[in-house]
Amino acid sequence: MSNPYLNHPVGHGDLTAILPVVTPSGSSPLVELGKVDIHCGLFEMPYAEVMAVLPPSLHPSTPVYGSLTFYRVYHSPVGAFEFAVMGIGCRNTIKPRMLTLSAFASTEASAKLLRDNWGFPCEVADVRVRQPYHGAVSEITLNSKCIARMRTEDAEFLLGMARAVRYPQAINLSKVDGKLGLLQVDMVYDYDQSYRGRLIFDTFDAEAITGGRVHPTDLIASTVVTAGLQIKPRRILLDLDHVGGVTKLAEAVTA
Amino acid sequence: MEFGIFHELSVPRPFTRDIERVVFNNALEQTRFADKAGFAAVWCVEHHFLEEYSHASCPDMFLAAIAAQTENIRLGFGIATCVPEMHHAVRLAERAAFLDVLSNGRVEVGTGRSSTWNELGGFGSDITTTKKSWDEYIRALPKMWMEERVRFDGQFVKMPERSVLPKPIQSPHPPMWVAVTAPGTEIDAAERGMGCLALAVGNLEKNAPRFEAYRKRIQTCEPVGAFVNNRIATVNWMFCHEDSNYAKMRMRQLIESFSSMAAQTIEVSQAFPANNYGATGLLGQFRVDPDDEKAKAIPEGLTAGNPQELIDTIKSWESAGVDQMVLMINSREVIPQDEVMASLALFEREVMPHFKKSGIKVSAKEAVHV
Repeated sequence: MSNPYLNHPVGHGDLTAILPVVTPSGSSPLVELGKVDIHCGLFEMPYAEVMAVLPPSLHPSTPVYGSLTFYRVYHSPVGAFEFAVMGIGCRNTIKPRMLTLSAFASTEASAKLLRDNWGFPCEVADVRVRQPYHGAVSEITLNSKCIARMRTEDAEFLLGMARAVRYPQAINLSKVDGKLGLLQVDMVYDYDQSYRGRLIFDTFDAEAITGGRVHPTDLIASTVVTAGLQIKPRRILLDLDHVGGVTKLAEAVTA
Repeated sequence: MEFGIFHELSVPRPFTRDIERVVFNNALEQTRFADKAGFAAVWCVEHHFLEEYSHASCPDMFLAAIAAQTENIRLGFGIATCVPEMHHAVRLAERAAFLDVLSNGRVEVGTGRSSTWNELGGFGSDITTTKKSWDEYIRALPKMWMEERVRFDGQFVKMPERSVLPKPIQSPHPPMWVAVTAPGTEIDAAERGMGCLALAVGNLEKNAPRFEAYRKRIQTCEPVGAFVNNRIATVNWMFCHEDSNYAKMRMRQLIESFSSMAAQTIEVSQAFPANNYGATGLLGQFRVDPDDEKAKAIPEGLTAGNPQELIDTIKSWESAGVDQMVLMINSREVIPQDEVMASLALFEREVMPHFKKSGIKVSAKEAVHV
């Protein structure tokens, strides 16, 4: 007796034709980044565009949405850096995930750290996260051209449980131990303070950020968060073709 | 203990032109049976844009169809969304009263405010004010039903003097309820003298203290309507079969289906974090940590098993102070309709007789008037 409980739509994209395959090679340590500033914008995108990118192992969320998230890191094994990642919100069976389409880091060393350990397809760019009073402004400048300028205005404090903003874990196209899949990045947040505000894009160069494959249509909101951030060792590699298929790389590490 | 049935009208893919008719007709057949079997109420959700999860965008129309096909069963909005971008308060009052007239006074009005980005974002709702608009609506609705002419100058209900028509059959007005998922909403219900429609879905141990808190708080409430609706109804999955293991296997399918559907949608707290959506809602409860084996287990308190197991489970809910068990009996047609009907028939034959004479049945007319 079959139970078609996973009979949801899945993508039909061929990620290997779209994205670079990163081969993580680092020892996959647990990395403490201390207190970081996070600036995240969420927006809806056209369903057809997203389905053409998602692989057959992932369901789209309903409605489909994406995020551009900036991190300002003050302390790391490679020093201070800033980092931006563009992702598509999706579902690995019932679990919310964010499929990385592009990533930008402000230093060679940080790009290498993120690429070698967790498969982020990092390019080196000028990435800046700044927090003027009651908001935030973040930018990515690549090859002297601003490809993203994102602002938060009318920010409101989030209190209680709302402060724990739920950022889905990123998944990155990677080859790990010879196996191609989507490497899950387990980030753990310890929230200090959080705001939600109106999202504004002064610039969003879809060609530079998504290869022109997906475009923001309706902006949802943005969050500005200060949180302790820890990135755990590599643990899970999701299949590209089979819903729910995973390769366990290591046992979970409890913080 | 009373019994109700709860319809989400969840629809399996592929979405053919015929599939919604099949789902709606199956739900109607189940409800006709429930009416004859002596179930107290049928509840229908209101959801929008929730693919598979619920295609019940017009519960008043569904309940009107039920009204025409049944004799006694009460008709519950489970719930009417009190958000101005979705419904003007007058339209909610009109629809509930209209159905009350058509059904000869069988309406129960559940209220709520939605918790998904699909719905609130789809209608361009102001997420930050849904609790406020709900609070204003529930105070306006009884006035619209009871007073010949009303005028409002609120933040969300603002209108010149008009007569909202028709007036309901039930006097002074239909009983009002609140959908309770997030912790603390049971207190909101109690403070306002409204029934607690708890989307508990099992988890008796977790919910029993909330019911107790509701009972305590409602004793000193200030009702928003003309009377206190001091009742607790709790929504629960049900599958009854002589073979306990078979029933539990079916229950697991129901839960898996529901969980996976719920997980595809975006909760408000995921997309638009807001202080009035601080707690994890119903959907989040089904998206458990994959490493947490305990969280993946079937929650205790679910009504799945053979008749004796169901009797025992329902008695434990009764002991916790629940007045009505509202049963969800299918999800996306995962269970064939003939098995659903057989489960209902067995429930009527073997389970319901154990509860018919216990408890105090409270109708709107018997409820405490202020």
